Amino acid sequence: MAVNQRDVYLLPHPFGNNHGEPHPHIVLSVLEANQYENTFVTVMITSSSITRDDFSFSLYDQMFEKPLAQKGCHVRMHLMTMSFGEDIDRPKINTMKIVAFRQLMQRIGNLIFDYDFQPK
Amino acid sequence: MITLDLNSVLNSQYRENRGYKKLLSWYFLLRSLIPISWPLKKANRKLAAILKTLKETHAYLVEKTPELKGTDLHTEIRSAEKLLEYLYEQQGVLEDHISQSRFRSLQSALDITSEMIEVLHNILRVLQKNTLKQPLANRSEEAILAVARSKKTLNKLYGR
Repeated sequence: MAVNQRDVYLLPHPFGNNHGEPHPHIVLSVLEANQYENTFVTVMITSSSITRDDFSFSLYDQMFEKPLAQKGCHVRMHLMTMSFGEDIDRPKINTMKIVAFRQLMQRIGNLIFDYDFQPK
Repeated sequence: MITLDLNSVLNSQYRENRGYKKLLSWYFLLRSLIPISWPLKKANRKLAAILKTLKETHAYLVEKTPELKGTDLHTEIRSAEKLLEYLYEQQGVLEDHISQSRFRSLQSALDITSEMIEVLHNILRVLQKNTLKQPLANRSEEAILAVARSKKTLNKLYGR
């Protein structure tokens, strides 16, 4: 299955589905890298107001092709994870628009890596 | 020394933008009665003025970055996010109208709004980068999940 940059997936709970609701994740890595060993890098989305902090990137419906399932969502920019393609057990739920994705990557570059992530 | 009351500036931009919305409402109301364009022109001038102020604010912040480092900018971040949320809504409304061909005249308002969003993201980047950050006392469940997910992937990779 092709895992594309900007796609949003609900990834299964790492401790098993009976441990809680799966979180949506935005794919950060590009298709070419994702296909290389069937791995991909994502960043976590949450709607928890308790964990809204200095590393949160606020999300709005207009940033996505479809409205978000919940209000008050934000990306926890420092919580990036690596997964296998086979970890995906359901179709993608959304896609982030390119302009908003660029803003997210620039913010991650700036805050998490102290690098200037400019798109090509 | 930081002399700009950034919070007041951002809040005033928010109020100004609400004024823009009122003007736009007048445009839609009057347009249904007579072909009239002055409220839209006035609204666009208002938007352009807000954009200019936002750009100046960003330039000021970039210039003052060394002085911002480690100061508590959370109030300013909240104000900027409130304005950003409002602008995204405005962008959505304009996009919906533009998709109907009779509202093509709103394109310049949409372009200005999109640019305002971009500048506001730039402002937020400076603010978030430099605000005082206190490490969390307790690790969040989400952090534990994120690490567990990467660990699970690594274990699978090495066949453990």
